[in-house]
Amino acid sequence: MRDLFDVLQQIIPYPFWARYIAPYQSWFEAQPPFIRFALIVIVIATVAILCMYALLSITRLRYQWKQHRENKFRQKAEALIIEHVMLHPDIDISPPEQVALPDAVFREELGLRRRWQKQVLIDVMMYYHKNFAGKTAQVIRRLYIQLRLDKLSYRKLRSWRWNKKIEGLHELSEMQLQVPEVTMLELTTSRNRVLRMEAQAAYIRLSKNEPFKFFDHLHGRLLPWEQLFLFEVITHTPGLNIPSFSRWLHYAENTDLKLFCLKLIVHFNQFNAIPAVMKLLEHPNAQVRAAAIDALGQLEAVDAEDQLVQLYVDQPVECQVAILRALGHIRSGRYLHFLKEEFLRSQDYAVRKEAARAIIDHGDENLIESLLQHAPEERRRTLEHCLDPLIKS
Amino acid sequence: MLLNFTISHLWHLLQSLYEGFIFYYAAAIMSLYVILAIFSALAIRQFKRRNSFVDYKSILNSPHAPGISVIAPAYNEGATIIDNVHSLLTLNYAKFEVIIVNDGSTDDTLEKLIREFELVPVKFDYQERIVTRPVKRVFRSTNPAFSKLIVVDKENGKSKADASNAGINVASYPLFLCTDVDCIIEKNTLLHMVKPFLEEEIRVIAVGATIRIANSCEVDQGVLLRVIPPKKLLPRFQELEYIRSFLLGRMAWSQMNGLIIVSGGLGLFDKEIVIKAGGYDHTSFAEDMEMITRMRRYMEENKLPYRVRYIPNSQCWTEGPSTLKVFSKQRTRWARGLIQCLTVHRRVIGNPKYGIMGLLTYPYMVLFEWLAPFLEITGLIFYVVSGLTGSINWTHTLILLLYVYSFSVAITTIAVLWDQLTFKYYDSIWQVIGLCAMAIVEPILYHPLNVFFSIRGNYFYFTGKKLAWGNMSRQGFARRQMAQAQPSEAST
Amino acid sequence: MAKKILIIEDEPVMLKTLELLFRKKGYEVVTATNGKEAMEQIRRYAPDAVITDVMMPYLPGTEIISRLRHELKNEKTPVVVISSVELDSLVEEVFALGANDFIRKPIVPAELVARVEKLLVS
Repeated sequence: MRDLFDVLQQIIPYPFWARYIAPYQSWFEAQPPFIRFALIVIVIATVAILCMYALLSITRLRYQWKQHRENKFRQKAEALIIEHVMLHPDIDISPPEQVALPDAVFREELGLRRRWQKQVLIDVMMYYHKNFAGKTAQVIRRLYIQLRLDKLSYRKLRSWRWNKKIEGLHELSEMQLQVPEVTMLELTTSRNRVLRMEAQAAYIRLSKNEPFKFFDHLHGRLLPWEQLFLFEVITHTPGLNIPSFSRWLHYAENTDLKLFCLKLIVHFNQFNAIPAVMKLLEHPNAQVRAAAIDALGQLEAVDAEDQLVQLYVDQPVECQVAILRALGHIRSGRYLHFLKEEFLRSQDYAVRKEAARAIIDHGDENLIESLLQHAPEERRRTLEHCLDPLIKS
Repeated sequence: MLLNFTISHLWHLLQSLYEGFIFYYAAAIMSLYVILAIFSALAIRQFKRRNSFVDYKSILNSPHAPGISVIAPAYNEGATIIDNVHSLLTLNYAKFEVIIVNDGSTDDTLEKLIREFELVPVKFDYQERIVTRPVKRVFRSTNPAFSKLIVVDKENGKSKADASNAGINVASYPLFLCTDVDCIIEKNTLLHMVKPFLEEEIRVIAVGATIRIANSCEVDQGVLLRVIPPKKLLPRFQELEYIRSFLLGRMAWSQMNGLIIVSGGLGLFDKEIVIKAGGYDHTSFAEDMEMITRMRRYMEENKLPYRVRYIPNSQCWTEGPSTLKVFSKQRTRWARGLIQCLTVHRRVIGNPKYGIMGLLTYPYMVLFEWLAPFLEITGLIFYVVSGLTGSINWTHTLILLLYVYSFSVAITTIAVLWDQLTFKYYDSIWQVIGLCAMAIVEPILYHPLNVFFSIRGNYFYFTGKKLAWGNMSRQGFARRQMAQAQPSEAST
Repeated sequence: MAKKILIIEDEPVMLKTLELLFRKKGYEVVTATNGKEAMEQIRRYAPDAVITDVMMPYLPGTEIISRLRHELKNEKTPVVVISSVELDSLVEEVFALGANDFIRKPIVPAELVARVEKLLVS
């Protein structure tokens, strides 16, 4: 304990030390150890509380001041964009690359010398670029380059902090600016999930030749969140070259990638992928099989019907339900009898309900009527449930 | 003479032993708190960094985002039900449905719903996957504007758990949000809470978020206009307590994957696992904690990897009890629920088979949540006796008290500081400092109440079990009864 | 006399932009940032056209349309819905309620103006 007082003596100015601390030294040292420990905790806690109050006040005030400054700037920037871009007199008449840019006004009004000013302006422009399409977006992009804001984005891309890198990527890919493919490709295999996802999205948006190249060497999982994000990017990037996604159904061993490609195949109605999708019906993973069955249904692949019904018996419920749903989508009518049998036979509620829905999808009024009259009570209730237009599920 | 000497000797021995024990116990709690605070600070920091630039629009807009059923039981909510349902229908999410379970209300709750939302009974094929009191009818709206709304009319089950279970049976989406109709939910709640389900490699079975006290907030027709810390003393203490327990406690437990409390006011669950685990237990006084325990047990016993997650955003504002009477009911019930849950799941305590929950969370609950009030009471008695016999070392006592006190003030201040540095729900710095200052009086004014009600809850559990059962279970809607301090005995 | 357009949108930047866009085209514009305000504005100003977002506080866009058509028995005022949601079910729902047009975000300003103008003429 002597050490403690020695240390204190060193850091505390002498007059203060002599007056307030030294007299208690001997008393302190006479206390039992746990009391001494308690005393130390009391002092530390008290100092910590005071520090926290100070920290709280300082950060809060600083934050408010910054907010105030940025808000004022942001409003100015927004007003300028509305006036000089959205309401630009030329924007409806001339092609976007010929619209005279209002960059001088922006420089003059906003200054744009400080980094935070540039950042706020970038944020505002990003907002407009995201929410407005067509010529407006193109003029905003030109303006962003003309004002040299891309410099800041590129600099962030080179930052060592991963979240800065993402910000940079985000901005550059939103504004459709060139990023060296090597840089992006390297980041698409980053160990940081968030960075990897953003890099993949940027790669899809920006790559000139093969926007889906990274699919070829995708390792590990492609999580649902990442799939949602990439799906949004793929379906919302104008002018993107959409490949045939069946390429990756067998080429890659990645289950998530298979599921993802199935969604894309359905979204883009890639009917020529049907044979490749059908091959997945033999896949050992039930989730993949179910997704493939669903895809076949949504593509209304009549050719797949026989195989689906053949497979039916050995499948887990998840896949059986998918098959029934697919038959409802395909609606060839050839397996209506099968659906009816299944509806009356199955002990599983999910199966029964899906069969009922598939029957209804076929629109055979006579069959439905006869089932309503002759099916056992619990089956009838299921059918009525599915027939009720107000129940959507 | 000799006898006298021995007794005083023994007393001294006991005294020093006790002091030592209290000291080490307090030190253990403190180090635990420090560890939890560090864990949660790291977790919050990571959360903030990972989510600072997330554009939730891709979840919001995508047809592939999982659907969510919002389940809110209602019992005699006639006064506010319309506004509350409207506000639930305005949540920002693409694929969701709102299921209001009318738990046999005796007022005009159902009639009001039918009128306002143009409801008609539908031929719903109700599947009782979790056993509940009978469901009488299921309603849907004829107006497409309310196509998201489902109203379930069931017989009163005297508990929120039973009503929630009926809602789960009706739910058609794979995830469900469990809430109360009178909770004010922030509009982006579903977006924020669904994200953990989508972004983990391991299956997430439940997600919780921070709940705060709405008593003084500006609210208009179920829409939160401005967040203001509670003005009255009792709710103000609760706000402080909520911030501390949510931000420091639950965030850290989530980080260690040891979280067992996802509050009944707001939790997003994996429906499949909930059904497999048997849903809410309507006999439990802490049905939220009890169900998470059961879900976790199910996963552990079937050797399925899983996570229970927590997000630090404040997503839900709820009315806290503002009178001592209602408050006492709530806390007594909580304490009772805790001991009940610990007894029911006693096999979990210290059992390595149950992973972190068995080895850390449950022992923590027993040692520091359940036992603490008893130790505090015995400590008090001990000091009173010592004081009376004059064998007390006043300096030491004072120092020990100050030691516990200063630490507890510090830890509460840290929690408020963290909340303020990261989220900033309040506009003004004075509101924050005002709240912080409450930490100084909390251990003296508020904490003793909690200790007392905990003991009371335990007392009820161990003695008046049968007697108090029917009486207590009516408080399934704890929050509701806070609003109407005197529940009518005849109502159920 | 200039035609009156009500724009309902809870994001202030978007609202301001759309407001000025239509002002410039010579319309009289009234705005609302939530469903409750929107209903008040409809009652007070009887706009010639309504442009509305879907997800908003108090009342979602769908309910605004429903109230306009059923409660206020207004069948003719054209309603244009703007939303970024991709679900087909939402589009169906919106048209079932009596909306006249549905525009997905991101918006092409010229297109939005043209579609609203077309509805106002017919």
